[in-house]
Amino acid sequence: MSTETKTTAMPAATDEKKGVLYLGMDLGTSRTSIAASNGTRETVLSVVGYPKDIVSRKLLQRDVLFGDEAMRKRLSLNFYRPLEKGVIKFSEDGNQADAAEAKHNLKAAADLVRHAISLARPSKDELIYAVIGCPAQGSIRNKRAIIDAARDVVDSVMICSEPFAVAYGLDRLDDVLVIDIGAGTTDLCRMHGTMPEDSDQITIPMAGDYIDQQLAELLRARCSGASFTINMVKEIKERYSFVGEAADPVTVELPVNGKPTRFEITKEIRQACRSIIQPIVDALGKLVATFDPEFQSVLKNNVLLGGGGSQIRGLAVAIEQDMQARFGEGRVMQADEPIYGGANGALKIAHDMPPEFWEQLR
Amino acid sequence: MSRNLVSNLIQAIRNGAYHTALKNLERQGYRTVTVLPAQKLDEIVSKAIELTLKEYGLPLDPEAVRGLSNDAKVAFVKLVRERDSLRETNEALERERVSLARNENHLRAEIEQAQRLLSEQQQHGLPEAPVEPSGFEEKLRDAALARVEETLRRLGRSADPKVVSEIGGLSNEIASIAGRLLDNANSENLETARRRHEERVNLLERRIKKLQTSLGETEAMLQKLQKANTEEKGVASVYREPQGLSQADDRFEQKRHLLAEIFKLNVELRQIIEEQDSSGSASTKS
Repeated sequence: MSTETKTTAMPAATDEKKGVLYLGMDLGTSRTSIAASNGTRETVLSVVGYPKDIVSRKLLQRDVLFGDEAMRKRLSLNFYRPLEKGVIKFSEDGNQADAAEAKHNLKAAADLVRHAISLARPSKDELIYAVIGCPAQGSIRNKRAIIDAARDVVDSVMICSEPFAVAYGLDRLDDVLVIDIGAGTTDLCRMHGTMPEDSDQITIPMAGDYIDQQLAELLRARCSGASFTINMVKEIKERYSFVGEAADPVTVELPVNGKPTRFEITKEIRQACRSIIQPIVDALGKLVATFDPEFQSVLKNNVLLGGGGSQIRGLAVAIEQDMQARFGEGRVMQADEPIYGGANGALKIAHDMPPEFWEQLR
Repeated sequence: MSRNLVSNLIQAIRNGAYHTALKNLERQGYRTVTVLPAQKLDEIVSKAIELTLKEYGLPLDPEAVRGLSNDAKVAFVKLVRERDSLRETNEALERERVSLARNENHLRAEIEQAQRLLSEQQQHGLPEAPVEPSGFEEKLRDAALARVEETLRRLGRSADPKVVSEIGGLSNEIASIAGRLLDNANSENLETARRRHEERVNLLERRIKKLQTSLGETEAMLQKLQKANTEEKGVASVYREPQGLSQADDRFEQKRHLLAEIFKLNVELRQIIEEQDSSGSASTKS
């Protein structure tokens, strides 16, 4: 980030401040959402594209594109989906072979963070304090990349665990089990009134992307000769996903030798979406089993389901039924705003954080 | 709160909301929904004002609280509307920018074409005067003389030396007149060609100038628009000063402890980053 941008976004400390903008961000594998204290709430696909050459640069008239626009024009772009399994791709290991790719992804992630902050449309003369939710298990390098990107455009920034942010936002801090289903990972976090430790959290790779892979395999078997990409599968899933009883049969149109052909895929959609239930309930069982026996029942009856993946129709009920069958009881509540749950929580943390803490981290 | 204010508030919220069927919610696993009647918003805003005043130890008389309350509701409606109108303005500006950029490209292409034509015209240069064939007048005179002599011979008058001499003089005169006429015709043609060439060059130069003015204006407008976009005032935060956890919060102590934990973890993270930076720069130096 250039110094010029920094100067524009961050007035000097001696400047008279006219307000304080609190900002919460959920930096997700599939979507990045922000909520700010000026009432702005925005979400953008976590994809970044840079024009491939001077011709596409001239055509697109931009140096970098984000979200849906980048997705639409991806053929003219060097296209990055910088996050994978909740962290910046290749930022976790020091593998030299991936060093160049890691550098590109770090840059793309930094640009995405800056773009997401700009979506909050902060006034120039306001102090900006941001809390960014990221996976608790993320490496130092990963967290550093996020902090470095944000520091250019905000006055002070803090990182916090994503599932904790969801719980804090909903004021559910005691004896509650948060399931945050994202695209790359499903994070389960046990809240018991204090800051969750490593033993309170489990991350499993069965999430939105996993369902896409399962569905793609099922479609390959079901829709003979049809050609499709993983993006098309993702779109189908987002439109029709369900795990209970289907109200109507699901039919989609896929090209076979270039000719659009209709396929009925109700069973496949249900099967793919159901594939995450068992691993989630397994992980949930582990967190319950290692909890204080006196409070296990309370925990089982206080499961909070959030994250973009929780929008699968009937998922809360299905998890609840599986819990009741395996653990004898269970009650799952769906968070009101799955996409903004993390961002809303991060915003609430930002708001509640004492001003002196913000000042110390400037 | 006046009826008008209530309806404005309801309308503003409706505009900002989205519709979904109950059946859809049921499919998503929702069993109950929280319903907030629009009229309740009125009470919530009033209550928020009352609590804030109480919290800051600013007891005001009920009339003043009511006035403050109405101001807050008006501000609330404005904020909801401001967001929509900002979005619309941004979209309109973006459309305008795209159209200007397209126009800019078009103008550049036109200028390029006009300059190419101009350069072609200049390369060809002014048409040169046609070269008169050498000895034209002599040849014409000889041809006329030969023709007249042949005619005289046929008429049997070729022996008359006086006639021959007269005819010779006449041939010279005819050749000279024809030469002059040809010269005049040539110079007229040349003049016309030169005039046309100059007109074409002038036209192209004027066209390029006009296109360049147009391009300059478009570029200025684009710059202005881009500047307007980057200088967008933004949406003001509802907070004028730093907040922090309210002491009135039911879980004040618990939350204070959790927030301190988050802060501590972030301080540790910064220390690790700084250590990494300093060890990195030390190894670079060594």
